Amino acid sequence: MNKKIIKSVFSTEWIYGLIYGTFAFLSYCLLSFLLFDEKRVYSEYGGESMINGKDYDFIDILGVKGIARQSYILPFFFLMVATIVFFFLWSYLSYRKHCNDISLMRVRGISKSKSQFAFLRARGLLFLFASLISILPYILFIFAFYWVAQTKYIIIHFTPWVFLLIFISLLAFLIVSFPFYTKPYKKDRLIRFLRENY
Amino acid sequence: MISLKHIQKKFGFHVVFNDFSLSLPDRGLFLLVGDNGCGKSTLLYLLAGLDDQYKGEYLLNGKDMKSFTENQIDNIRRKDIGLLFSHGNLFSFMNVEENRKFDLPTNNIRFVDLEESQSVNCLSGGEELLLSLSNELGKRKKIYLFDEVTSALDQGNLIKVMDILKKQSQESLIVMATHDKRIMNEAHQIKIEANN
Repeated sequence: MNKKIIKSVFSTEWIYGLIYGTFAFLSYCLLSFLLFDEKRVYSEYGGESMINGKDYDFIDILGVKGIARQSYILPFFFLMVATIVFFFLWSYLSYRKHCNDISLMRVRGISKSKSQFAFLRARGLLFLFASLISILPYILFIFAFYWVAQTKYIIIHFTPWVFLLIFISLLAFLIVSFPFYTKPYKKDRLIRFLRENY
Repeated sequence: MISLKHIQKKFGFHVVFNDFSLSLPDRGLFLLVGDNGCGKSTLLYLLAGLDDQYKGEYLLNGKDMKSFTENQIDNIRRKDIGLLFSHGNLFSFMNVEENRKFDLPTNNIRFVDLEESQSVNCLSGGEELLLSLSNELGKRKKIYLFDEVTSALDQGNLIKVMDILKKQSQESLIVMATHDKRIMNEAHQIKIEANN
């Protein structure tokens, strides 16, 4: 049954996975800019030679050096807030989509872990799938960045911090989703739901 | 087998059962009849172990339902109690065959000919009900609780279903809440009145 549930969640909620994948991709890119280490670039490549070169201008335009780098914090923060709001929306719409099936499972004596939490786990899998797939365009973005910049300096790079970001986002996703998979299936609400729908 | 003693059930200030008692045997077909809002569905939910917000005693095979944990009640419902609504109880994410074989891979009972790979979302109300009924009866449970299951059936299917239920009632206890006048004389009636 778990396979059926996973298949059902992936086929009905792929669009949310795609939207979240876009959020994730943007957050990875912003994270890379946030983690730009000006001192490292200077020490690795001899900053003096960069100062008057086109590479320095390029870094300047990106605003990742010095105080200007802080300008990436705010978009990153707003992206995180938007992601959390999106998690609420996704969880609610998912609840609306699957509540009939979950309620019937509860009525038919299927345990919480095989009904409510099976759907939550399937959505967690979709989330992880979207998060990990988004690493591919992120890597492509880094390649494209260097191709456009034509610089020999490593300004931004693939950061393993994206995995911590994925982990924290997964926790946030589960915390936001959890009430949608518990409260509606408490007995009094379940009976009210059955009365209204069956 | 089932014994309800001095059941009191309220929804806020609305009293559904004041001092309701009922005993039902191991097998037989019983109809719950009464006006809208008198508590027929409430009684079915209570018998199914879904509703535990009541005062009084509900004994199933001599054991108080309130003494069971939620998991135990889930198990009882899965193994022994079948609950069916007027719209059936099919999973929308499974096709006809998957629904038919769910929890019972060897189920070959068919009350209606349907394409196995068909989505259940394409079925008519009657087809949904007949498929659900065949799924449930195939499991040979001890108790069946049906809520208005015959209302959507045409006369031909109604006769077919009632024959099946009568046959099944020789092995199981079937309690059916209904307003369907066509079947009132087909089984024992339990009259539920408001504020019993």
